[in-house]
Amino acid sequence: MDLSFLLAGAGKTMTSFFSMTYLFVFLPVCLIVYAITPKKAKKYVLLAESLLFFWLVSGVLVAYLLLSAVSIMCLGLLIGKLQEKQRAAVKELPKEEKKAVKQEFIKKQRAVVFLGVLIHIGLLLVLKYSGFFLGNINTLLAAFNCPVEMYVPSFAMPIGISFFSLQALSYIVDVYHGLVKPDKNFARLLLFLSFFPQIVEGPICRYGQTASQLWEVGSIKYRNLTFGLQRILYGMMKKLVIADRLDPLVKKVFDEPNSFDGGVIILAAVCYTVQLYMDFSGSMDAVLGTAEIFGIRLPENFERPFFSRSVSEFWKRWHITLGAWFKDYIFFPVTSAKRMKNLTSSARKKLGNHFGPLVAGGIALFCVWICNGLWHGAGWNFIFFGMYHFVLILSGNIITPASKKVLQKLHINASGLGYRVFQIIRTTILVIIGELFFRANGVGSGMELFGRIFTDLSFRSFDEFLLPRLGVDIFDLSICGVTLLIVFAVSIINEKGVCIRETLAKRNIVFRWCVLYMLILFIVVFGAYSFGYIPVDPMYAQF
Amino acid sequence: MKETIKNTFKGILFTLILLALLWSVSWIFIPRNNTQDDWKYDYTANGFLAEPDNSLDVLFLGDSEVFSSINPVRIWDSYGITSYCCSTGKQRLWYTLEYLYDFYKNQSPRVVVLETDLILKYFSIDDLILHAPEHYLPVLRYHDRWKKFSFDEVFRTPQYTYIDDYKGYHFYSDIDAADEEGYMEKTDERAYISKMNRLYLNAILSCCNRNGSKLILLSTPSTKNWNMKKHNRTQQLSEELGIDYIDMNMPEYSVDIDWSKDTKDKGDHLNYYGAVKVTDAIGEYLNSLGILSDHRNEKGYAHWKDSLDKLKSDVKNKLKTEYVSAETKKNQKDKEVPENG
Repeated sequence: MDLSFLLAGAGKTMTSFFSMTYLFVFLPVCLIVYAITPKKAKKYVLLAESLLFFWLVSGVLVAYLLLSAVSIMCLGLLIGKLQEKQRAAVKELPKEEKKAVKQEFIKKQRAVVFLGVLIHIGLLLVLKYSGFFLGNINTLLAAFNCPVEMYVPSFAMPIGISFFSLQALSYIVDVYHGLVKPDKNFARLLLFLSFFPQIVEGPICRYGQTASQLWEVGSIKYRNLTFGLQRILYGMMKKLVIADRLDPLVKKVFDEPNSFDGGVIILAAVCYTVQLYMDFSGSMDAVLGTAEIFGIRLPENFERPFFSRSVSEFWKRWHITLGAWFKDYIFFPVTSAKRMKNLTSSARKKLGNHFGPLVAGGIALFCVWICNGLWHGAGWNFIFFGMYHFVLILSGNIITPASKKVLQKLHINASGLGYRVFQIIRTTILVIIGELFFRANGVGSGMELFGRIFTDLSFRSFDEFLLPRLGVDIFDLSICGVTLLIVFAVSIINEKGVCIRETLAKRNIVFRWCVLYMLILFIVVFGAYSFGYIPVDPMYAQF
Repeated sequence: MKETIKNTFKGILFTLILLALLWSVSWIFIPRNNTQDDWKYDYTANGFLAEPDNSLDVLFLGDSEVFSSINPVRIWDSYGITSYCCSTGKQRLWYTLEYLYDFYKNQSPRVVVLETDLILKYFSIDDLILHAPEHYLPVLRYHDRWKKFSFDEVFRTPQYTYIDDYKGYHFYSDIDAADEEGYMEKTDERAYISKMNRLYLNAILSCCNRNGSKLILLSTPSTKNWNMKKHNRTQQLSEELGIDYIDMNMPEYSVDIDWSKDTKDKGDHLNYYGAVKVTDAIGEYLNSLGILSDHRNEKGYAHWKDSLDKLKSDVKNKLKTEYVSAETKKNQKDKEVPENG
């Protein structure tokens, strides 16, 4: 009997939450099994379903997840023990001795945290980045005519390692900071790491946000079921109607950077940005919708990012949980380090209250963006992408006083609609440029594409042969445009704080069902699936 | 409890109305003809829909190996046997079964030839879940026809008018030599066949048996797609199922493919020259079964003569040579033997 499927996993297509197997087999079966399970056992069923899902998509690599869970449980308990000992030790001591003893214990706790970082980041470095680093070392050695060539290994990576590793680390650091108590319950900790809707593409949750919710799950409520399914449908529309339909165009232009003029490259860069947003936010709708069915509220990952007025604001609205993770676990620790504090106070004296803190802040920002770039992938274009945003955000901070003065002199109302629209358009253009480098096949290719926008900015390719060459037609672009208008309208309504699903729930059943049937038919008819289309893997699953 | 029953009822009702809706709108999207314009994908394979009822005696099923290797017009020219290639690129068994069902609606083939390249090719459950309901809810397959939507069509019943000149065969004139290294290297190992594929193969056999057709397995020559492991597995399957199996990659069938000029893409597919050899061999085999009639002098088959004329003209224009029929070729060969001998 062939048992190789046990090692390989038997449901690799399920990495997409819009795959048929996930939507019509795995999820319904999970919900039914969950629904008929007695309340006390529901959490265990949820854990079993999560592990089953992870095994289906990653096979034997589920071992990494288990290793991560075991390590954070042990390390968390160790930190907890040290904290208890510290409390007991300093209790009876005079005030002047307390500090020294406390420092001693903090040192030990930090060593445990460091071990956790070493395990998780070390694993990531080996599995995800070793090929990239060693490849670059080989290039460097070859450039100096060094006859040595290092072996470049290639490892199978479990799906979602970049996501669950960050969750695991946040738990250890939160225990260290006393934000959460060390968990003695291995099953709860494992469920926190492995909850199946979030394991592939996030959101990156904190233990305090989801662990107890997951462990105290209750019955499926009709309202949660309908709300969750509605959100999944909305995400499906974004992914199938827009993102997947634009894929051939984006692929063609980015794979052949020398074949198109600047006009087509601008079109492709815009389309890729739209595709990425629709793909990732659509998948997030499916993730959050699925969690909602179980009655679990996961943190939002998107808050209408293209309404942002600055690049800095954009990153507070785009992949929110990743940005928040970097802010809490890299930016703040770096800026609050003793040396950085000293640097800030001395810089403040020399450069003033605005520019002074920017020195240490800039260093921390650099660390954040180099990590952000690398987190997305082991490639120079991702590092470039990170540095591009670092420069934009830092320079935005530097020129703030000057731009305020310019606005005052020109009598421009910074809160007026016209200026707000200008800021939004400017931010969108800057984001699109960043995404162009992000998608390009290497920095060289990105430079080539970006350069052509200036050196070959013509629209001569825009003839009747262009769209067939790009693998799309005018109908594809038109339906993407119409669907984007729907998403835009929904975004405006959401921005005003109105929840469409709540509003819909208050209407009569006939109206409600008509809206849902229209949405389903819209996806069925205009979705890019079945004949003539190649299924597109979720874009963030590869990170 | 009452609330649960009420909500379950609502869910069932919602689903039933949705299915009814999808079934109703399907009518709008069904192609109204089998022309390239109406049937965007695989229109040559669907050319059989316009053929006169019960006029096709042999059905060839399979992926691109079929439409590049078997030329039904040449078989007609040699033996008067009418056949059709319902073959599509990257065809999988679930799709093959659908073609078989559709074919039986208007045709009664005596022989069904299944090319084996797809028998061992994996298809995911995802494919199955996506495509299985398409048979009942065609909107799922033809939804992309919204791009061609016209109100006139909504009230028009489908009428199939496109007859494929080549009966599903694709004429390839390119030559790109293959590397034969490792091709059909001997081994006792057998390639893997999934349970799903096995299930579908059984379903195809049952369908053929129900309709009184003889099922034959055929492996067309391909250095890229075929090997000894696959042969061993297919041989075993054919024995288990009790059906004939012809592997033209094996020396005993002496198809004599010249891999330096009979392939169009380095051994992946055959070109016209390769197809002539395979077609002549399979034609001879079909004729030897003794169950297929010669329709060459029968009424209602005139369009086959037109197809043959087109083939001759294409050979002349594309290959700058004269069309050589199987009979002529055989005579030439027979003459060569004593001279060489």
